[in-house]
Amino acid sequence: MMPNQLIDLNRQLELNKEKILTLWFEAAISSYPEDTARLLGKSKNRFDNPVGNITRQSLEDTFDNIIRMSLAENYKDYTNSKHSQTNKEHVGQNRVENSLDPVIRIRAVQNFSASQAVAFVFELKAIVKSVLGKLPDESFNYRVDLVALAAFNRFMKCRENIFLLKATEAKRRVHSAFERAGLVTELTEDELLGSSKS
Amino acid sequence: MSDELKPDALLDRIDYTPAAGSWMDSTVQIMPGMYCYAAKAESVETLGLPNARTWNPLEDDWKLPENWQEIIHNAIKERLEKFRTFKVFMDICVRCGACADKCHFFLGTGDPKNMPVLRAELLRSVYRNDFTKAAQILKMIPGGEKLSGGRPMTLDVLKEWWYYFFQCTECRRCSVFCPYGIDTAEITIMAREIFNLLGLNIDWIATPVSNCYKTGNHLGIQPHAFKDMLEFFAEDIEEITGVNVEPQFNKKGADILFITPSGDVFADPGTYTCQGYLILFKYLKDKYGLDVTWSTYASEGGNFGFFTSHETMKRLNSKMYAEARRLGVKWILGGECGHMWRVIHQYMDTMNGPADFLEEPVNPITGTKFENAKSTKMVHITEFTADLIKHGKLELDKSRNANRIMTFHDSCNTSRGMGLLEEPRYVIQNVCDNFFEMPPNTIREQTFCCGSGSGLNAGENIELRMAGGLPRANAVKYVHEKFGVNTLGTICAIDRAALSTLMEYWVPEVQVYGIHELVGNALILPGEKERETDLRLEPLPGMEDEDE
Amino acid sequence: MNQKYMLPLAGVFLLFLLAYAGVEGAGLQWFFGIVIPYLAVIAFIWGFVNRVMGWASSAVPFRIPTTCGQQKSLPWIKQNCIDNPDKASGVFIRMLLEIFLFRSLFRNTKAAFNRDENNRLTYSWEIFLWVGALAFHYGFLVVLIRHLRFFMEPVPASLAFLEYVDGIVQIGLPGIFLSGLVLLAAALFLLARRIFDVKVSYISLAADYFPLFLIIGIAATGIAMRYFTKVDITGVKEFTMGLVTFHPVIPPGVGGLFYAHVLMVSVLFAYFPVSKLMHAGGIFLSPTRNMANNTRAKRHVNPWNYAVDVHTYEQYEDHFRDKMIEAGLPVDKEE
Repeated sequence: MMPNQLIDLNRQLELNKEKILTLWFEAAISSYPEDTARLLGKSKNRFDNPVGNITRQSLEDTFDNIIRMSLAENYKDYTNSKHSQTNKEHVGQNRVENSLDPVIRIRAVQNFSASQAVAFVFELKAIVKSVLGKLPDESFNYRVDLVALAAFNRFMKCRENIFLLKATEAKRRVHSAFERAGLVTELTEDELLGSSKS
Repeated sequence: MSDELKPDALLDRIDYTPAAGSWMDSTVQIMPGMYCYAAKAESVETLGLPNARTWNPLEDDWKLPENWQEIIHNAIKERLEKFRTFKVFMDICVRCGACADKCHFFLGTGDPKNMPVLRAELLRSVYRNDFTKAAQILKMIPGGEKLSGGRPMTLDVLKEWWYYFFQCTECRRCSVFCPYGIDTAEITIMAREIFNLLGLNIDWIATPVSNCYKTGNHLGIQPHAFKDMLEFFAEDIEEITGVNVEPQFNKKGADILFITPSGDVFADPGTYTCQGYLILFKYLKDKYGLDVTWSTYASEGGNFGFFTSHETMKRLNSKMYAEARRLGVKWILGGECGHMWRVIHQYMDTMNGPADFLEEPVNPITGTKFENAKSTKMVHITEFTADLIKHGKLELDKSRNANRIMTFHDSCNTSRGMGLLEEPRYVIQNVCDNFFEMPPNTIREQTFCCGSGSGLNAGENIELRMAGGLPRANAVKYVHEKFGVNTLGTICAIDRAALSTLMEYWVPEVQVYGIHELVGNALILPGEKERETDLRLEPLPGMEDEDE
Repeated sequence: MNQKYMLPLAGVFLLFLLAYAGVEGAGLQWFFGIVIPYLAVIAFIWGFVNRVMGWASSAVPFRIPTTCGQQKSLPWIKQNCIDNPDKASGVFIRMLLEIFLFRSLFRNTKAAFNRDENNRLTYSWEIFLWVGALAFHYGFLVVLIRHLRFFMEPVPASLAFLEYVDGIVQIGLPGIFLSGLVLLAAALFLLARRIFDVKVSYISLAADYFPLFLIIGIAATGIAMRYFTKVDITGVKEFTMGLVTFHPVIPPGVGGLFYAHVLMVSVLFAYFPVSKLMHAGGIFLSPTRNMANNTRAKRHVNPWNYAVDVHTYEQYEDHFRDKMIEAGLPVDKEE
């Protein structure tokens, strides 16, 4: 694709940003029960309605990053972990992941399956198609796919984070105090991971 | 996947028209991460509570007593007579919806059955069916049952109760906004009493209760270990300050008995708060001769009995007065804790008083009479410390806390069940220079819960805790980004444990501190050496370089 | 259609038709005009008293006010005497504000911080539930008081004055009473909120729609009689004075619409004590609002307090004596 086309597409995305974001936000919150979704969409106060406002902000930041994505980026840059950290594309990946973090971090503790948690990313394709009135070229779908991959990455990180907190909370809070006092010496695997009750 | 989707189809997915079905039609699905494990049979047995057995909430059979419906019916009936709150709150809700978006669990999980009004309706629907005339009249008309808003008590209903009444932290935020003062905490308390009668306890509550009953504290720490732990803190403090703070135990004839939640003694970061208490008591002893004793028998300020039943709460709480009487102290001083203070402030004197064997509390150093505690005879440590500071009785070096950029989390129980708002703020501002409030709709009487109160700070329900704590974390994140806040002050042991985990997930740059940890850092002990580290053994501001 | 509100709506229509047809068709004036109103008033008084006595008979074992401000503690810390009262006077003011201004509901509307697109702080006001509720209740109150003129002879001057104020906006003849219109508009608003606000719709029951439809029906028939069908006021007064002096009469020339109005009012009265409308009485007895927060200063007595099993210090020491002695902890019995 010629750079001109890309610039043109980006300009159109920029022009229709508000409309696209509104639809994207609605798509994202439609994964909640409808009574909840309505509420999340309504209150603008970021403290009275944290889920709605964080979701909206996070989607906006992500969308900005989609527009900023350069042509040179490709799947490999996004998935190859051997890439050096200073690599320009890798920075791009981190940027996308970071902008997705707030919304994914919330969804990671709300009983969504992995696919439910990130499905909203793919909705962007249909939304952009309907708003622009035509199928955006391959490059756009490709960018959305990259975002989806980043969302999966972040979701996994958050879940790992949760499991780590779950596994080590007791140890770090109680047993570390005991250890410092020399009241216990070491912990068994069982104690670390909690009891094996269902 | 969505290539074929038309824009209209997408918009249609959010249905703005009300659902035809009723919330009563759906059955509950108990989700992992959102519920707590069932109580161990032995813990329930220790306390002599009903229906001790092994059971699993995920299995169909909950091994209930055969006449469980009758037990519930009679339990509701009895409580309607014993508690005006319960009876009035069952009758007068108009479902205006003012409380709906005030619950941190609703805001965080997005589950509509976590709206306070609906949580109460879970129980109210059965109440209406079984106890109101309107429903009994309507039942005679065909189809009238639906109109009455009632439903019969079934196993599904019971499971729904259990799931959602263990997703309420009894924080009372909804009650602030209710035009009739309906307090969901009160309804949750009744529901949990009913669960207790059926043996539907959760382990995170029942086992601490059983431990507390037998050994005096939630963790089941035996007297010698309790002493070891405090003496270890004393060693640490001596290393930092060069002063031996010499805690005293079970000392007859001391001036004051000090009781704090055992979390302060056995769980980080509460342990640092505990060191703060020790430093304060040492200071008062050296300077003013005040004699404070700890007790290994009443070694738990917290009271998870409160989350089981009024009776269990009373059984555990009785130790405070019993020990104060045995030791012959003048009055009792209570440490930093949330629900402990709800129990002391609103229940203790009524349950286990009158405490006529104690003196009306007077601060012997300042002469201040604690008028507000003259009957219960127990004083909150921030009331005590604030009074000392106000009278210039403490020598404080604020600069030792210069690296702490503070905000303060009001605990639900001390703010909405007591009104202790200014005392901790006054102490903070006298030991630390950098203090920034979170937005007004998230503090004081409108404070958001940590998401782990009322015995829900277990490990297995961590998703629930993280989701429920989101509104709180969100406000902390705001002041972190805006003012560079790196320290969240609390006056609650559950907060110190739960918020630490919550911060790790949502705002990892922020650390959780008890107020008396900051006091301990700032307080200049007579004869102390130049301190190089704070109580966490991290270099004091300005000492970072010398450390290398 | 949603049966949660369709059935109550149908019920109110049915009531209307019943009275209208019963009077216009079957000539049952005595039944709808005399029997029903008396029964309704009896049901109301009996039910209301019963309900309140029922609440009052339940114990208040603990003093558990919801505190919404600074407690009374040290003398130099300013207490919030209303939101966290420690004296009866503070509780009284708190209750007054609650009952007359719906203060807790107003908290909803408190200006809250918000950030707009440009990251500036703004304020948002979610005030409509509070305004709607106030308009509804005060509209209802004025209408109710205004109706006292039908039950009093001569009409007291204060009532006449109220009517004068209520009718201050003089449009057409007979003059418009604001209260009736405010009541109707507010009831319609509250209904719309229940139907269209998904959150409120989700929590609403048939029992929430029924009284709203009933009140809308009452207001609508009342307004229709006053402004459109121009009911025979002298006849109505003769009828109401008959009821109140226990010499009921059925005046000629008063039509079915009036009896429909009377039937709906009667149903509202009879329904009141068995429904959520009892919040009018309940608010006075709500322990989280009507108690002072002084439990630590003044002992509260639980009428059913009973002794419980406790783990005594003696039992504790018996259990741990050896370990305590070994650790150097003082014990009561040295063996």
